[in-house]
Amino acid sequence: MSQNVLIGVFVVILVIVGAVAYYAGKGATTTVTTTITQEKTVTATQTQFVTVTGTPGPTTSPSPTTTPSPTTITQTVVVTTPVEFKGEVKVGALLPLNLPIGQLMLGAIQMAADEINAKGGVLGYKVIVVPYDTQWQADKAAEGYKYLAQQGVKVVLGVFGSHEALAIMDLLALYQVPVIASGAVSDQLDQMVLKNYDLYKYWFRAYVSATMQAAATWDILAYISKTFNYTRYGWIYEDLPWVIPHAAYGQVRSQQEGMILAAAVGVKTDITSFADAFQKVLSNGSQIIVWQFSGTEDYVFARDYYDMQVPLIALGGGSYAMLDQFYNQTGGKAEGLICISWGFPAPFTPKTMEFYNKFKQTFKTEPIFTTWYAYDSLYIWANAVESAGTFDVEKVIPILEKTVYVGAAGVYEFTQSHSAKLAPDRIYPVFFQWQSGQRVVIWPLNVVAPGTKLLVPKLEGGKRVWVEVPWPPK
Amino acid sequence: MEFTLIKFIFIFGVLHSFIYLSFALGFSLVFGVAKIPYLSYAGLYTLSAYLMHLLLTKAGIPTIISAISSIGAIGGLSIVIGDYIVKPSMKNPLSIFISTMTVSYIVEEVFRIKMGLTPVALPALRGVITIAGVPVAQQWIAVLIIGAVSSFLVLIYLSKTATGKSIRAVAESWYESMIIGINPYKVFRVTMLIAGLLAGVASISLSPLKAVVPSMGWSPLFVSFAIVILGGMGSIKGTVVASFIYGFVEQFVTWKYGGAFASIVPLALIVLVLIFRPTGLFGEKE
Amino acid sequence: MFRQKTVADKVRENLLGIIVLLILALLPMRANDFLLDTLVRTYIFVILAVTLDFFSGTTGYLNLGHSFIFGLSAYLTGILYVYLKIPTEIAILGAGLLGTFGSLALLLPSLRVRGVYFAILSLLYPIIFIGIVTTQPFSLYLGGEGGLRIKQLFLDIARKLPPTERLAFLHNAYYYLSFILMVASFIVLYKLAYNEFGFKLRSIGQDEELSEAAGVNTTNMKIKGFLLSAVFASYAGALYAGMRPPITVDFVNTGSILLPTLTAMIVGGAGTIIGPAIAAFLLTLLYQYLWGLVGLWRTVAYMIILLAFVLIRPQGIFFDIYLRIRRLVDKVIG
Repeated sequence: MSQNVLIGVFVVILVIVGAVAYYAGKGATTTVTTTITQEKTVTATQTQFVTVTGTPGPTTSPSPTTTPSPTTITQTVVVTTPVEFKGEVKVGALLPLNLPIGQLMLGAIQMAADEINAKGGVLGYKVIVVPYDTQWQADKAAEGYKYLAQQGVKVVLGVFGSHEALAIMDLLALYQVPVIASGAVSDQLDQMVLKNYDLYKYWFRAYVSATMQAAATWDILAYISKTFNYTRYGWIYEDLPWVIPHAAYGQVRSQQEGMILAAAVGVKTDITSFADAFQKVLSNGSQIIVWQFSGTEDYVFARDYYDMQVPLIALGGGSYAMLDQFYNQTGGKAEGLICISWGFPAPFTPKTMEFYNKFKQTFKTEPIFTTWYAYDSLYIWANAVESAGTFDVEKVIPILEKTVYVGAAGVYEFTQSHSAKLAPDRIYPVFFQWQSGQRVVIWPLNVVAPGTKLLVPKLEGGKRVWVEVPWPPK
Repeated sequence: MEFTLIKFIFIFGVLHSFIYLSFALGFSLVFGVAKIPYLSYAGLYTLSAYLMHLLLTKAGIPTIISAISSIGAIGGLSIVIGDYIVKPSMKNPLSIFISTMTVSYIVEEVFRIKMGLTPVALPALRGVITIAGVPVAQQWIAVLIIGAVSSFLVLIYLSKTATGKSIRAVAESWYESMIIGINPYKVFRVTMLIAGLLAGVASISLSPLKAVVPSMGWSPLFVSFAIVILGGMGSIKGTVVASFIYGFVEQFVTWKYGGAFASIVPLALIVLVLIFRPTGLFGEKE
Repeated sequence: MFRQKTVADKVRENLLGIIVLLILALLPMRANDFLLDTLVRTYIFVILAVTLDFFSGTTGYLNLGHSFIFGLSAYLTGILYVYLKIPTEIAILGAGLLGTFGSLALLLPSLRVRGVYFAILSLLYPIIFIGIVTTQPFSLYLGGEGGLRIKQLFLDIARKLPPTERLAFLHNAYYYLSFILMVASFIVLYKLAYNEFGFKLRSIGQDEELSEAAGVNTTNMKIKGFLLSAVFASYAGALYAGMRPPITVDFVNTGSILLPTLTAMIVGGAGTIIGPAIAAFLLTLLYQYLWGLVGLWRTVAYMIILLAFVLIRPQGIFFDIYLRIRRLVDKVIG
């Protein structure tokens, strides 16, 4: 009998704990999906923003007309007049909504749609975003594209995964709905456009290809190596297919730069310790570490980078290492790590900080990675349509090909393979170093703030210390 | 093979083996007693970590209490699942596969939707200690102690107490234990409780070393499954031995050949076992 | 004694089935493209469910490697097209056959193992297959990231039509092809399952030793049963590959192929053939349309519904419902 009492106790604990957690959990991060179910009314208000002094975070609430004072205005003034739409135009968002990045991208697209609608829509039509969850599966992506085409969307945005993109490529010519992807870096896609323009001209990528991604990393890697006279590098990477083009590019570029791959260590996504990886890299005489992950390895990496007092610069990319909470989440162990960030709150264009702050305010989290490009992708399409004066894909494509659009993440200009150009004055990543909880930008050099220092690790009396070096070096 | 490598393999082998043991034990008990694959285990594992996170960060409850409450809650939940989901489906053993699986999927999806935006990290012990020249994070020591203690407790419970012994009896044969007067259903409840507690313990001690993500439960489930097959269904001794074999083999492959091959280990082991000894190392033919 | 069954009798017996088939056959005239597309996928899953049930539901040998059969012929289709330059239409025919024998050859050794162990061993085949396909150097030949690309079935014919008719043609063609394959596999397997053949299979499921003692050549029956199950599943795989390139490991993925199939078999009523067919049909459609209803919560809703089905009637709720409807119809017709 006492056994039943024991069991009863546990069930009671369950109920109490469950209740506490439920009420506590209600305060958890807002989900991005809430933005989808917004107003269905066709009329919207057209707002005119009149700002003089640059203020981050524009106000979005419509208020009755106010007349601005003649000289300086220190707040945004909103003049609202109701506007009728001619109708609705649908745009598709084909995304893996089971992944956080998919939800964020959808939120960004919706945010762009709302802004465009507030200014009268596209060609006078209200933009409706139609999402489809690919669940990160290629066959569902293909189904999704067909579904969206069936729904009558005029363009498909999102398409984050390369495998998803490859699954829909052959459908493009059949359904003739253009795609402006913000992701899907596979070089194969570029090849397809170049080799079979007629079939694949409907594909655009408002982002760079895998080879271009690798090139960006190598730009800074080469620069740092030359600055400090490093010739041997160690490479710790996630052993998944997406890394292959990076490896291929690295092989060629390293020879051009006169650098030798001292050690290459492939790890699995749920790795629990980098002790062995660091050991290998160090024992093979590496002078700098390059790292590449896309999953949660970042946390373990940072922890071991600190715990093992690794005295080498570690430069690389990971999905979580670039987030603002990463430093605190690792308890400061991320100190000194140099991370890539595609899309970063640094003033690349006049729109960068505005978008960043508004997104952060709305979704209580930073826009990450392709979220930036997703936001811009809708605008790129909207602009092209406005220039063409029609939704007709055959007229819109030539306009897109000649587009030079200033977005939030950078400036978009498409290459011959319909991919965004990689350049510091076009689309380019930022490299920053974690210094005392701050993300200090160290690359590209034209965005580095004066007085910036680079932390370089050294072994002193058995412990690792950080030496400040003026950056860029004279 | 150089000495350092051997040291790494040995130390991490021991650590991993105890962890695998602590969650394979729960799974093995249910498998042995109820003859079912307890697929809800993945969900319990995940839920335990998230529950602790919520209590810790949103309700501000101190770490130790959060941990204990979460573990207790998962134990209770396991009992509920046993009574309301497993028992009714016992009329058709095949369907237990589906019914228990849905629980894990639901847990994963709910947390993916509600909290999936950033991975969650549970607090870990800071600092690194060196064992024989190998740097080991202190959290690992906690893992070792917790894993070893919980495993020993369960093993003692099974061999010394009346209920424990009846669990083993039922695992051997429902029919014969009923003959000697044991109520298999009561035993079933306790087994579910223990399984839930072990899932919670394993989850909370191990997840500070990685990140907490909604899909974290499937891997331990799969590993437990492999261990139980290797050791023999229904044999506790088999589970213990198999956990160590599994732990060491996996670490050996990881350190010598790299992490990518480590996922082949469970597969290879299962294949070998099924070819040469289908009932597992210590299993008995039905 | 018993009068011969007239055509009228036969129609009356199968009235329900005939009506359903007629509706489905005439659907393309009314349905939109997306529905047709969804139904193609649904029919493929019905075939998978029926084939799995035919072998596993009767003999009790739970073939958890069913997705392996499906995926093998899918990949064979791709290989035939890419490396032997065989046009898609013929590649499908060839791959279906090759896949059948391929899967038989590989699964034969496992048939020696009984019960749970067979299930576990069969589960390994798709996993190992995926493992091979995704590691180099195989992955380079088998499509790498994007999968094996082939020219879609009937694409050449479609290109000869005016642009506005192309899509409709493809959708209708795919629809009817999968519909016919589904009906064919269902009728064949249903008849066999409720005949002496099926009786022997079920006896193996009840008590294999007793069955052997009673004179049933169990090994022979298992092979035959498996072959029949595999041939339809293979053709389904080859056909699906032809309709939905590129061919990726999703075709073999246990989670996306086996689980819905197994679910349909269990929730439909193992061994009844028609229960799993109905279950596969309804569940696949449900999952697809849940997206429109509850959006992101689709998987949770689906799982809860599944759980309910299993708890209400663990032996398989759909067969139960089918029987009740059958009785009702019979009463009405008289």
